[in-house]
Amino acid sequence: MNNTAPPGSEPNILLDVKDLKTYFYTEDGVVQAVNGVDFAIREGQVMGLVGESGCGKSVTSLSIMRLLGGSGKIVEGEVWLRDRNLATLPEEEMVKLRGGALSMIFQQPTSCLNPIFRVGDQVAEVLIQHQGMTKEQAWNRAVEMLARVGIPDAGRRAKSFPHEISGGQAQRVMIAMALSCLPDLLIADEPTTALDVTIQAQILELMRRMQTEMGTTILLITHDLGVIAEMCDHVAVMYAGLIVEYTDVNTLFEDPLHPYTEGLMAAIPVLGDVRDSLAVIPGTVPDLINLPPGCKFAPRCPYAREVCSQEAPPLIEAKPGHKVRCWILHPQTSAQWAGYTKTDWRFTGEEVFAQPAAATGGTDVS
Amino acid sequence: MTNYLIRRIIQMMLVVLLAALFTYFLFNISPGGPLAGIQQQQQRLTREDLARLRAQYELDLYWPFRFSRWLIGLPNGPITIGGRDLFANTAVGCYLPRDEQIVIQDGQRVVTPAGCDQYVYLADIPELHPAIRSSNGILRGDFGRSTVIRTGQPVWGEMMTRLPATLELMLISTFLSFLIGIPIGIYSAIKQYSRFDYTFTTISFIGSAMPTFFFGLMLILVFTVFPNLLQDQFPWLPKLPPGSRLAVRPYAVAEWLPRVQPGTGMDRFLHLLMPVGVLTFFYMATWSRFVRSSMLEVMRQDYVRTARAKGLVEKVVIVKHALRNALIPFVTVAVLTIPGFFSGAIITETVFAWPGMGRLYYEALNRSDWPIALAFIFITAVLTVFATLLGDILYTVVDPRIKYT
Repeated sequence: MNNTAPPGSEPNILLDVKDLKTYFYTEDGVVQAVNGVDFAIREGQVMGLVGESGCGKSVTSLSIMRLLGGSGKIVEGEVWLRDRNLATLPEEEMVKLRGGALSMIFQQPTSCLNPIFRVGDQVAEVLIQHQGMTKEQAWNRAVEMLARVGIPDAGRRAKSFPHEISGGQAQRVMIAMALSCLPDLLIADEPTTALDVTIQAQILELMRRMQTEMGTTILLITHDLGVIAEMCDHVAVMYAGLIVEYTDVNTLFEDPLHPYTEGLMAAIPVLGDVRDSLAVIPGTVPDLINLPPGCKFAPRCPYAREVCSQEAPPLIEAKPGHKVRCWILHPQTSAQWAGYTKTDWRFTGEEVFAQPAAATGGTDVS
Repeated sequence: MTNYLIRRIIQMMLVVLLAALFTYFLFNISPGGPLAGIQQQQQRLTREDLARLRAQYELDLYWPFRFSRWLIGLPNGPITIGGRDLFANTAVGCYLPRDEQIVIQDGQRVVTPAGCDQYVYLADIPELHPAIRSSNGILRGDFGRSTVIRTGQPVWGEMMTRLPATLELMLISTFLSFLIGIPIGIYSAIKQYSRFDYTFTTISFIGSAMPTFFFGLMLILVFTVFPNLLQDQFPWLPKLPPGSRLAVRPYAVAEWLPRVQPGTGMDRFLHLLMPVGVLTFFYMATWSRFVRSSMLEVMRQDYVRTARAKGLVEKVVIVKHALRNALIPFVTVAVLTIPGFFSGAIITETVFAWPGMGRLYYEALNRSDWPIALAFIFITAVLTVFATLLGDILYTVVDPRIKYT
């Protein structure tokens, strides 16, 4: 990324996150939820942020929105939205951006709507707040937006309360609310996770349609690689508060470089491929209070060598436009892995921990 | 909604009826009673005297009949249909009860079992308990007559003379406790774990944990007893009246205040200060804790985050999106204070000799004035079920998710 170039020098970068660190100060200790995240999104693109639960995806998005709540704090880093650094912007300025240039939809659409207000009023509220519309104008525009996101009979539906509509409809309302002020950036934090599969497809379809119609830039956070494949132009894979791999979506699926991404890919069930057991990444995400030294993935990595548990690898551009945070691909250390074989990620028990970097079968990588 | 209301009202009637039955039964089996004192004082009462006294309190009737007479004023004599008296010879009580007697006769224990020497029959009721001395039944608005505290006077009239004092005390303290407790609760929740929050949760904890009688006595000690001892040296120390609602003669409070004339606004105000202080402190503690926890619960909700993500300023987020939701449980609990406006604060009124309903009830219990105690419980029960209904109806007003069918 253009870490050295002054912000905004490349006109088509909309959001540039640099070395973002967000910590939560709890009674048990400091939770290093986001530990130096770098990525950039170009205007009009859809970028995916993928990773398992607790890897810091949502905290990254909430840091961009500055909605961390009491114990969370951005301790380091910059978040440039065009020419403004959101990490240091005063709260009064931030309030104007939220819902306007910067909007967000969440995972549980039904609980994200206030139960005691009509959905139309909740959409209209954004318009009154940001565009200074009168109540009536805002209501009409809200109904228009609801129709546009595919809510049938929007005029009547706008008078419903959140408990009277389905989860899918609620997410449509949230999207209408988020897009009503034509935001520059829409952050979608697992927008389809709480919905059933058919509704998921409809919501993704809607998001893609709105994206092409309005040209909105989207940061899509998910743990579902299927959603990533369907929606995104670029993907960042997150693990334990760090971006471990960043590239465009095709490259990621065709040629994943980081062992973690490789494991994720292997774990996707393939239609028609009958197996006794699914591939897994052994172990669990590290404790974010006591992070392991060196590479955060090393304890779970079948290829881990001594260097991995001693020093943290930097994010390097391994191939053009393809960044990865792994010693295997680092020019200084890649020699150590010369001629290693890739695993098929089918483990039982503790074998990964017992024999690090052992070839457990699979294809030869030359 | 109509169906729901009909169903609820039927349930409420049942609940009140059962509550009345249970309280009456419990009073009946509890030791003591209006005769206990008389029996102790006058050892030489003959059986006949005692029977007459028992009849005066209707204790000669079996308790289910007494209950029915208390509730609806029936039976008040034989049932007359077409000029014929029915059930006239049914025993409904015992005028002259006989205890179990054991006599030694010719070296043999002869046991005469407990029984009745003279029964009361339905036909006897008009003569023994004439309508003029009997209650028409509490359901017909006749609460009977006081037996001890205002012997022979109607219970209703006595309660009505007490009600203004209780209303005054309870309305003021409830209003003040809302006025202070709610904002404290909201602010504590917004600034959770701040110095403000710690201070007021501690104060609230003390307020709800400290018994009102203790706090009341402490206030009397500090504002009446100490000034009484120290006013010679410190004439500016205010001395508050420790009890009652109005003074009987002019009194001095402190050197900086002219003598207070009885019956004036200042007199009322000074008498109210301590009991209102105790109750306000106690209720305020409860309400601020309730609002704080309710508010904290709501502040964690996803829709509050949505409201912030919409770009609303924090004040709007809190007042419009969080507070409205937090007040839903509050409103429905707050209506349950309504029975308290009638029943008063038993302990606080007693400590400060406040001539209200609570103290009346306390006296009635102490002196076995059953009609007063029963009327008090009955009305409180009725008000409680009505307040609950009102709370449930209010739910539908404040929360669109709730509908009754």
